[in-house]
Amino acid sequence: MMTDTTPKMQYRIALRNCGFINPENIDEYIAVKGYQALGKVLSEYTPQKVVNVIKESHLRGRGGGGFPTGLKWELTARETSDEKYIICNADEGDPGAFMDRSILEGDPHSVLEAMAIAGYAIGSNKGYIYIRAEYPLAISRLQTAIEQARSYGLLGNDIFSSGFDFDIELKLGAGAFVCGEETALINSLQGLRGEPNKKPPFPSVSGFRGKPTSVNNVETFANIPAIIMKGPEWFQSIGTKHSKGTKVFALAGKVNNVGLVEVPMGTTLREIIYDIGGGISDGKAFKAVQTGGPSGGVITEENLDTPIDYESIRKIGSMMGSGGMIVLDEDTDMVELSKFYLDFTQDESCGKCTPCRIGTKRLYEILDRLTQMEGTPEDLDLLEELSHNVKDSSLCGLGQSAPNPILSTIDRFREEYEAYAYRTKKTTYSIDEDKCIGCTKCSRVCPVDCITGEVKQPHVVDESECIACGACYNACPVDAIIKP
Amino acid sequence: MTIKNFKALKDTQKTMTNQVSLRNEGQSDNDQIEILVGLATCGFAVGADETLFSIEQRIKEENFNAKVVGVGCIGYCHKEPTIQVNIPGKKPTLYGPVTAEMVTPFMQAIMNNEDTFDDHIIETSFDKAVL
Repeated sequence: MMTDTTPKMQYRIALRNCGFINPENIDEYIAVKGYQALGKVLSEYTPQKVVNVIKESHLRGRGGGGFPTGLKWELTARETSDEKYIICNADEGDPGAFMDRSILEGDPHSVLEAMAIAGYAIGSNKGYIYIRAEYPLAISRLQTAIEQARSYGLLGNDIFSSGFDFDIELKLGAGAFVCGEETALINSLQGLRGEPNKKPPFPSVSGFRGKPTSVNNVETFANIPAIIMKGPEWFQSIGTKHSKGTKVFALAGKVNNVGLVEVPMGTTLREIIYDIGGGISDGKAFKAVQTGGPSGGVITEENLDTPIDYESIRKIGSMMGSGGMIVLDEDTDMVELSKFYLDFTQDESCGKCTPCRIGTKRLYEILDRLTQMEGTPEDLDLLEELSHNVKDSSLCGLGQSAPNPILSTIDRFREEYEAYAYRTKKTTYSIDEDKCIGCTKCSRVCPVDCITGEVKQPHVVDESECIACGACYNACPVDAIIKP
Repeated sequence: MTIKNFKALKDTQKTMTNQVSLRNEGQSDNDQIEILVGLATCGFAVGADETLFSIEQRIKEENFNAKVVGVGCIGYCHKEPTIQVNIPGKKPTLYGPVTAEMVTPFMQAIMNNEDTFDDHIIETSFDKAVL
């Protein structure tokens, strides 16, 4: 068994109630001082003071961009309009990411409370949660939470007899990745195609139904009640110079302790992967960690000790993103990894702008022919050139960041791309004659019978027949099998 | 019930604290044991709902002085289904994985204070903000 005896490296703010209270029982949320932050702002703060407190806390958007939340609220608050809107972006779409889902399933009331606080701050009476339909449990718990909050008078008209009205509605998305982009999300919410718009105008000026709108991420909201209750100084005391507070990561891939972690900004990747994550699974060697999902890149051994915040992670060639963190071991093929992400983005591209629609498709095709051993050395230059073109000329974040997985891996693992481009990549297993003891174990497990040899004599792989399944590698007792 | 103002909310909170006080550091005014089962998508995927149901069954059949509560994701995906056992006067303990098949011996161990499942204990690696 694995025993984690390290000092407590995680600090939970957004996840403070996850796994601690029954998310379907509002009384348990109230028991941990739930809705008191809302009570405090409605009875003691002006809307401007709420904005100031969030600004002073230096909370930044946890959806990936890192835009200062207080500033976003201020920009929306200063617009004059008969109606304004608060939108919670729960369209979590990165492969392997489940931070927002866990918060909504474990502590839905903290998000509702924060949305009401945001509504008060910017002068809005209506909030929408845009959540993907693939999250049925989160949806059902949110619905229960909204009904319970309404029955207690914590949502609805005249909350806490303050004269402030606020209500929340759920809107289900069909699971398009691009709808995590705020203008595409707003279009989808209005019943239009989920395509981004050119900014400006920003949603804070002209958003949902053309009215001032603040779109914030689930994890961002989950931090708000804690900041109001404990004060901006407390929040500021956690984290690094430019990134305050904590970040939730969904730790996945080839790591022993797969799970949901929340660490102060400034924690190193080594601490997350080795101390919290328990190291690489099956005793394999670490190769890289992929962060930021399809918009991010890979971080290698040399940068594992960099304290992670929004700025530092960009400097080492990736991005914070929403918090997906996929650990890769020595067996991971980096070209295949890029191909996986490009397959995802070319599929999810909405098609509105040409660079993204056609560029991601062509990038995918180049990667595909490389991995089929049908590429050429010129393909590598073409990959890089086209990647930069797509980045520079796409309309929204999806296309602007889609080539990142390629650029990041081609920079650090160029030899893997070259092995495909020059068709020198070995794709079959072979046997080290000096090590082989002729035990016959490999030939007995080979599903295509391509290993031959006499008992107690070195065996040989017929490489024209080998399907690279790896069965012999696992069967060999003396490490005589050489991997591709 | 409508909570009319901030003061009423604070008063309500005081009457509710006993619902969660046992989970923090084991404070309780009675000797009922409380068991939390992580019931998020990750837990459901490996049958945490069946674990919860089995625990309820055992409590009913054996008339144990215990109750079970479904909570959200505890964060230890690699050890699902994850369970937190809160015994009055003791520090709460996390166990995992505890599958439905393991519930009968598990409840036996918990209720009789036996150490059979000590090898399933998960050391928690987090502190959290308390409001």
